[in-house]
Amino acid sequence: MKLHKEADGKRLMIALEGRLDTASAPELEKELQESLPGTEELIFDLESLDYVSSAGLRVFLFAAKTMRKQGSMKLVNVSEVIYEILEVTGFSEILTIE
Amino acid sequence: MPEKSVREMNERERRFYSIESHVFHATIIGSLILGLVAFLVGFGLYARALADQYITQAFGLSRSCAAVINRAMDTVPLSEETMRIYYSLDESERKDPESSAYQARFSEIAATEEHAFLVGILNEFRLAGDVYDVYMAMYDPASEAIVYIADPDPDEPFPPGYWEHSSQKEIRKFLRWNGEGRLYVIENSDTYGWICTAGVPVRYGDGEIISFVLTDVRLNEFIHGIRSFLWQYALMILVSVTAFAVLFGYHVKKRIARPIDEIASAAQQYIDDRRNHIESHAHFSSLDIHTGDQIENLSLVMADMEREAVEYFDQLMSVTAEKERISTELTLATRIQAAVLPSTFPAFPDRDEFEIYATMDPAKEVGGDFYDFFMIDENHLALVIADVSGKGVPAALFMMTSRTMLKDAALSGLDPASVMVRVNAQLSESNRYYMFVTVWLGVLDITTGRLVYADAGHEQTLLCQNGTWSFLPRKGGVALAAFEPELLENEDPPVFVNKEIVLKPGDMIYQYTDGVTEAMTAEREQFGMDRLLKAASEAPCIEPEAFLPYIRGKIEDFVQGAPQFDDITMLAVKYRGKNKLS
Repeated sequence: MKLHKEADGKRLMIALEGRLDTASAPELEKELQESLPGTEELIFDLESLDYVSSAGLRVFLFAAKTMRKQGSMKLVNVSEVIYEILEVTGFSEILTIE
Repeated sequence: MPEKSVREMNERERRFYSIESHVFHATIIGSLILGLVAFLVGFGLYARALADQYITQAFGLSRSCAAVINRAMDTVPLSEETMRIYYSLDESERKDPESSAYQARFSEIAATEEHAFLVGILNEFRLAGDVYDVYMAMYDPASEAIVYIADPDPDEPFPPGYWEHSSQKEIRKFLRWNGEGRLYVIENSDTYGWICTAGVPVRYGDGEIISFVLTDVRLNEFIHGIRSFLWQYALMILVSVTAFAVLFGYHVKKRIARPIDEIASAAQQYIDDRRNHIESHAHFSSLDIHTGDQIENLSLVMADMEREAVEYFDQLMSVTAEKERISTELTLATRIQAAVLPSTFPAFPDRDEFEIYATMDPAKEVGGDFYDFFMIDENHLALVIADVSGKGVPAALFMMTSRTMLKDAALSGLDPASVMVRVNAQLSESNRYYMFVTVWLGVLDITTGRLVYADAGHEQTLLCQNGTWSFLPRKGGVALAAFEPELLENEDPPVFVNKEIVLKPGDMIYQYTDGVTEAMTAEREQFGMDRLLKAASEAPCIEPEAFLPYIRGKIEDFVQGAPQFDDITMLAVKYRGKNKLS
């Protein structure tokens, strides 16, 4: 997985590329733990994300719960494959997806 | 340099290529070169001094002899007469000085008393000086000849007028001598060998040279002297060089080679002991090397290194032991986890209304998949399949908790959707690590075939009716513990809902985890729901105990040996119906 970060004041955009699974989820979690304090708007760009496992969903959950207290979070450019996973697990009902 | 490496050498070759041997050879070669240079310089000086001595002797003898002769008699007429006759002869007449015809021309001179007297004096000097010859002669540059006037040589006395050819350029300087330095010439003639001729001129009153008193010294002794000097010198050099090289080689062996060998064999011993698991920590520190130089330093550094290595090794051992312990515990955890799942089949031997079969193939790491089934009461069978987020011990622990809560809630008689709401609330209470679990829960009334089920973000169920497989429609549902109940309670329609279908005898349902649909080839292509449906369709409503291995086989065929990333958990129930009892 590759991670591209774009911070603009209180707005943070993270673009993910490749696979977000057991192997790569800790990297994203670590990044979020460092970057989320002070962030009010978090955007995940999932255009180039091929796959997300339950470990990856856990990190989205962590981000969503953190951002609920301090601002907003949304997922953008969600591909069909990823959307399917979000839908099956019910995450699509709760997370903001554009 | 040797052709093979030092490891491949035998003892003899090692000795040959050893440091002391190198030093020994280098010393011999170096010393020989030095000896040769010293010899050349020494020989030059020695030869010069010796030659000088001969020249001095010959020149001094000639000078003394000339002085005595000048006192005793006037040799000028004798010389003048000889040369006069010599000059008067033409080339053909001079041609053969050996012939009696030639010698007869000078016989008068030879017969004079003066000549005999002169020869007598010359002979006295020859004997007194212990030289080869002392004689009187004149050089004629025109005919390049030395013309003898008086010669006392006992073996072969030359009569007056006898001449010898001499093309030596050096001899010409005799005629131009102004009295400074010594008059001599050294030549190697066929007749006499190496010979030094030195002399002084005899002059007329006006200073013109009429003849020379010459002394011949043969240098054979000199040459012999040099030869014996050479032998002695060479022998001495060889002996001393060899002795020096041996001593130096021994010194090098003692001071350098042996300590290095000791360090090397200590290192070898270290390796051997390690391999044979012999505990010894003092291979290098026990070395007794006190050379006070880099080698002693090397042995000290090696001792430090060994201590460091031992420390590192101990640490490594404890880390490895710890890792092994963790690994053992993880294996144990996997086993415990698998053991809590009902795994005896047939699970309900006294029940004919249904057949059930379930499997779980964990991936390498302990995971969070589980299935469960149990009778809620006489007529209701609960079916659970779930997948906890992530892997490892946290997932396993979360799985245990979830399973217990689900079973508790189901056994209390709640409908599936209510079970989900309750367990979601319980799990959300202290879910600080953002774990979640997807669950499918169904309750089958085995008397009627009515199946009530609820979905919490799990995979879609497959249903086989009348020999045809299809996915059950899914609606709503969110993974448990993902979202707090407060967030979900206002959703409309509600997040967790009960769905229901009625199974007819022969119908079958199949549930699974994402390990099935997300099984991957090496090229990362997923098995997917379409392939799953297609595979199932080729085995319409067959017995659960055959169906699960069949699907597993299809997955194996698809991934073609690619490693399994996720747990593969499956559950299948075939409904037989109440009437089968009778």
